[in-house]
Amino acid sequence: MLSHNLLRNLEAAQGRMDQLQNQLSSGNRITRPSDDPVGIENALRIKSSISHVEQWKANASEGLAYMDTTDTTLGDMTSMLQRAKELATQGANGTMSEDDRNKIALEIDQIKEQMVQLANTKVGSKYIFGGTANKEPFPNGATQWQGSDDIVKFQVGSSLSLEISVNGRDLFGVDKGDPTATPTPIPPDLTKIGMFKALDDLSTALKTSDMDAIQKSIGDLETQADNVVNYRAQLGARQNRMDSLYQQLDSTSLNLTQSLSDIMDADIAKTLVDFKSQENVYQAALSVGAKIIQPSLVDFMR
Amino acid sequence: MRSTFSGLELARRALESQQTALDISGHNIANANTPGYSRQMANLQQTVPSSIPSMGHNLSIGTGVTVASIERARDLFVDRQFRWETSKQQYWEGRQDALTKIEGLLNEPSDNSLHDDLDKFWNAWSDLSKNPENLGSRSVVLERAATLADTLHHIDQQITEMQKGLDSNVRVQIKQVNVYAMQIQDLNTQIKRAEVAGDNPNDLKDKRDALVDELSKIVNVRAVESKDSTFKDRDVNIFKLYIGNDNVSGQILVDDSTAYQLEEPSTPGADGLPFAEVKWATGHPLGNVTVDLGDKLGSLQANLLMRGLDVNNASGQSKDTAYLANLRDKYNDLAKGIAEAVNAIHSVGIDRNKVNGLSFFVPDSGAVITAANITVNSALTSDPWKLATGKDEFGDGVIAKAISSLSSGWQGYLDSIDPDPATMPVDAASFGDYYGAAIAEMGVDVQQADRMKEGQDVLVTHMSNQRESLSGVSLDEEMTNLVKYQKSYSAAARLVTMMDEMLDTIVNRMGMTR
Repeated sequence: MLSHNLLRNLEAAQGRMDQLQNQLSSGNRITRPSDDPVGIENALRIKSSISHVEQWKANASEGLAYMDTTDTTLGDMTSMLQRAKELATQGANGTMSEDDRNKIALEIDQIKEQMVQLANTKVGSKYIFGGTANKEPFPNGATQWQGSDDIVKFQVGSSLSLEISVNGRDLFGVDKGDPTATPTPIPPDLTKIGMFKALDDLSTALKTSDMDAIQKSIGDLETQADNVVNYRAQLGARQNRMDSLYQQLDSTSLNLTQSLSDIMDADIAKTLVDFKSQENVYQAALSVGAKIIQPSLVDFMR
Repeated sequence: MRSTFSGLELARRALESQQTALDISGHNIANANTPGYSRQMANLQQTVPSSIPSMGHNLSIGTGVTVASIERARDLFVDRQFRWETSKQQYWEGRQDALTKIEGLLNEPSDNSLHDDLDKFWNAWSDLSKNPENLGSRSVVLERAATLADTLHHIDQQITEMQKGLDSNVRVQIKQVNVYAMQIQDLNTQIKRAEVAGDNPNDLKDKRDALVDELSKIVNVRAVESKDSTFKDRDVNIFKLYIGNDNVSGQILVDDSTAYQLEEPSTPGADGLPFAEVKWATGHPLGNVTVDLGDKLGSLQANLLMRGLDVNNASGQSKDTAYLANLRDKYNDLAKGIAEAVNAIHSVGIDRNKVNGLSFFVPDSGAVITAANITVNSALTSDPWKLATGKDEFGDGVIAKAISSLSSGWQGYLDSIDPDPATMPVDAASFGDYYGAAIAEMGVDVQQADRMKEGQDVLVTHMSNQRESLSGVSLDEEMTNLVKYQKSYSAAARLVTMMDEMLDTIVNRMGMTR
């Protein structure tokens, strides 16, 4: 009977040591669901959350990259429109000859070409001004608009998606038609693109030395430039928002990781102390056991 | 008038009895470590006194000692308690064993589990929503979906394997019960024969008790011993052994010299079905009916309840009667729910050619999606461009975002489907929640099994100690007995010598004249 009890207690002590050893070597307090069922439900939920937040962070980061490129492009466009306005003002000067105006017109043409290039900027596989249509917004030298009104959105929250670009259609002034006209609504004419028309008009006006037209163009270009600056400001505000969202997601991720660690990780110091004391108990049990199971009357009789 | 040699006879009896007692002590010492052995004691009694007339009245004078019987130290009540507690302990041990295995195969919390695969799947959709025009992102989504399906298949397979393993355990245990029944019946016959001859066959009874103890690990047992009234002048017993639920009468396994058997279960097919059933064989008084095993007793019942009581392994069984089948149901529901939700959202979306999305998940056999048959539609794996990601425009990624949002709830799902469905794909706040709850529930079950087994271990040890203290051989006690009987023997031998001298006087020297 003594030996049964001894064996059972030794086994129990070894079992406890084994469990503590497991915790120490894995660093986790919870290695199986049965170690802490409530804890594990929380842990699984937090793990999911961390996974999503990391994904949204990646999305936000990629979104910011797009926005930066768009911003730079808009900046370029603004400076080119300014240049065009300068040239127009020059051309409006009555002292210029037809020849000079022709030369200015050539430069205006170049500016228009460059503008088309900018309008078709592509980052990776996306056209930044094409919206969700994913086609070149101004093909064939900008004879037609092929993009979409719908701006690409990136998911940065469980039900939050932010636009990463600006509305290409409104930026370049593509004709919208007149849906309220009677008796039938007028459909939009996709070949009428405001910005390029303004540049084309200026070029034509310069080539034909039409002073009135040149004056009008200066006004048009002014409007276009203001438009671009407007959109750039909008984009800037959105960029700030995206940036602060990114920061938020970052700190959320950190907090969640901390919470997960609180639930899952073993307190190494405490576990070590427990293990040591358990080891002591085990050794004491062993040595006591050796002493009590030996003697019986047999040893003392002749 | 007393007999001359009665004193010698008295001494002889003493010698014989003390020697027998010494032998019994020796037997005890020899069997000190034999499992299941109960300590035997000589029952020394005075022999019938003789009556001698002496000076007008009768004197009753003793005639010595004899070993009336050899008893074994056994308490039937402690035995009964021990077997009851053992049955309960073995039930929880069997249950703990199976549950720990399941816990291992599910492998939570780790980075290679179903939960992780789900998360990666949802994230792949979120990635795709950023770049629907990117073929690489599409391939990633399809790969992650395939991995998810594979994991579900694997888990389903593991559950089936476990059920098969438990089933073969049940079959082996049924055979064991039958073998024990035959062995006990054999011993009954031998014991009866000995008892009819007036003997008390202690060692045979010990053997029988050991067999009943072993049987109590598998099923609950109840041994009933009663006196056979046909034998009036000697002690003959009838031994009956009942198994299973104590409250159901008639579940007799061994009726003295008749042993009943459990029915041999039908051979399983390649899929492991039908499972073995525990029934009485034909010829049993109750007929060919299922054995009522009682409430949480014996490892046979543990195996049965984990495997599932229904021999055809039907779905829809409750957790209490079919743990593994119920667990499989949960995974089936999860697979079906995921497929439903993803398919519903996907079919609302459009792909590059403005064609509505096909079913994303299809069953590769049968009509209903289960964890075993869920697969990614092969039309999509062969042409990733058919993945529908957009709602109004190909590049808007709205559908991909909606699918990705399934990870945290039903908002995206409800927004995409029109009209709103009446019930959600699974009965929880999200897929993650449903799965987490299932895991936590299983964790609680394992904890319960662990704790109950620990508690029962203590009880069984306590009972075992009680038995040991009563029936176990204490070497100290036997040594003391040896001394006792040896001294008595020496004294009796001295008595013989003295009697011899006295008789010598009578025979050789009385009435001798020169």
